[in-house]
Amino acid sequence: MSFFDQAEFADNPEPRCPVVLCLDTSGSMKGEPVVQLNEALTQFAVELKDDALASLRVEVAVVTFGGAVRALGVHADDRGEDTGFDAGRCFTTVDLFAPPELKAGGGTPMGEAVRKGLELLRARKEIYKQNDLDYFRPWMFLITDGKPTDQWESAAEQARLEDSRKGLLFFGIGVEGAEMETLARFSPENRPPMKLRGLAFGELFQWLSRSLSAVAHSKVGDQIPLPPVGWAQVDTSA
Amino acid sequence: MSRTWQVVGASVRGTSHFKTMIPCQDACAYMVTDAGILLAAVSDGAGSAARSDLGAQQAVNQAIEILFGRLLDGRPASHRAWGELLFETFCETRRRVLGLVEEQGGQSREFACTLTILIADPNWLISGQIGDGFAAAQTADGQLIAVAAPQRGEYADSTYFITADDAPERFEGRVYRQGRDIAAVRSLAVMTDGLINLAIDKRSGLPHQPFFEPLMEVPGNIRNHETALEELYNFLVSDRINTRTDDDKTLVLAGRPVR
Repeated sequence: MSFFDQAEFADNPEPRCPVVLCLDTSGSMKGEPVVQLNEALTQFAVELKDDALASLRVEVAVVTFGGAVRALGVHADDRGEDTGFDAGRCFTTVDLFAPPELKAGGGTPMGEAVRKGLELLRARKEIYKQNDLDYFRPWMFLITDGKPTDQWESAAEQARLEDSRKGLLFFGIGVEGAEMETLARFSPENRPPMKLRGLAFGELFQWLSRSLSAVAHSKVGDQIPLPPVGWAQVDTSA
Repeated sequence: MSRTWQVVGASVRGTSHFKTMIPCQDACAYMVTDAGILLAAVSDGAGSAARSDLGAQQAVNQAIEILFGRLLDGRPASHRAWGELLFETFCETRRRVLGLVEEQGGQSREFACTLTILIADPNWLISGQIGDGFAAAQTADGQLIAVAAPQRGEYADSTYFITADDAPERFEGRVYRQGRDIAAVRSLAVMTDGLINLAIDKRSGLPHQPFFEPLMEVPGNIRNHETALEELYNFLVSDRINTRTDDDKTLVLAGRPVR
């Protein structure tokens, strides 16, 4: 046996990439939209699980806003349960991700959902630091088909600020009927909100899983080229 | 004249680069001067930078060439003099990398790469670093010491590059007098980020002993450089390593010959 064969490797935990999905489950999402969203979420899990490295690195939390704001369990043990915004509990690595079944109903407390999502990311980073885990820049996805029914201005400001100091990557996605100007207030200038073509949630989440794969496989350099967007509506008015 | 150091090193393309047809963006260069001084440099081109492979090759080749030229007239005799030589070498290497950018056209961040340098003779050990490379020394009493530690930003995928405006301020150098600051050095290893997860215990930041102890035996026992190079290459492309990292990886091993 050569000296090379004798070398044993350190067993370090994988670095993590936390992702918060802030999903609109208000009354207007009832029917086909929430059915499509649920299907897309299931497919998202299947696709990311195919990527062995990404499935150990990407950690997902689901925050829904429809009437109340909740962080739903995404692990087989607490799937769909209210986790009470416990950052130790509501994130799950993709290999163990069990998408909750979303139900639509109630108002659109978007401001509160974003505020809670930002808190979760901050708390999750603290957990990483305490456990000496390396991590990638967190992602936040806000998907809505309407306009906020709560105080949202300060939450929007927080999200923009956090993105500009590279504390996270914010993506705003508007479904048909969404108030895009409001969504733009949450989004950084260089990453304006995008409008979903029809109910192409499937394509949107496919894009998300590919993008997260790209991030999870990156090592050095802070600018990861993301795959082309095929799910957005092209604005031909300008 | 008896050889003071034996050395072998290689850079190989990571599996993720095979899939996406990106070239190997790591590079390494090394030599032992006639005066018996070991010079080694490794570089990791930024994954997101289009021509970082060229930057990395330029950085290691120029660093070795500059050091070789500077050391022809004799070697420094104090910590301070070594530190100055190291920093001047770094700044000149950086100028030549930026010179390549100018020659080729484009933006300097397209050529972004890290640089880790090792210089060793029987009395001194010097390391210099910008970025997230790693270097370890094994002393005659068997102890393992980290002599260059990775520089990291907040995120796992962020570090510092030689092409950045603030690179000279970020550059870190260390000068050790063997027999005083540390015991006499018998073996050295320097690597890029691709191998780091296998080589360092993240919690402590210390070299992982079961990784380094066998590898540190390699260079002193080299009988034939070609054979050693082939063994190193096979190790770097082995499934054992590829299941743990899909990044490019570089390893240079140097040691005092075992009689």
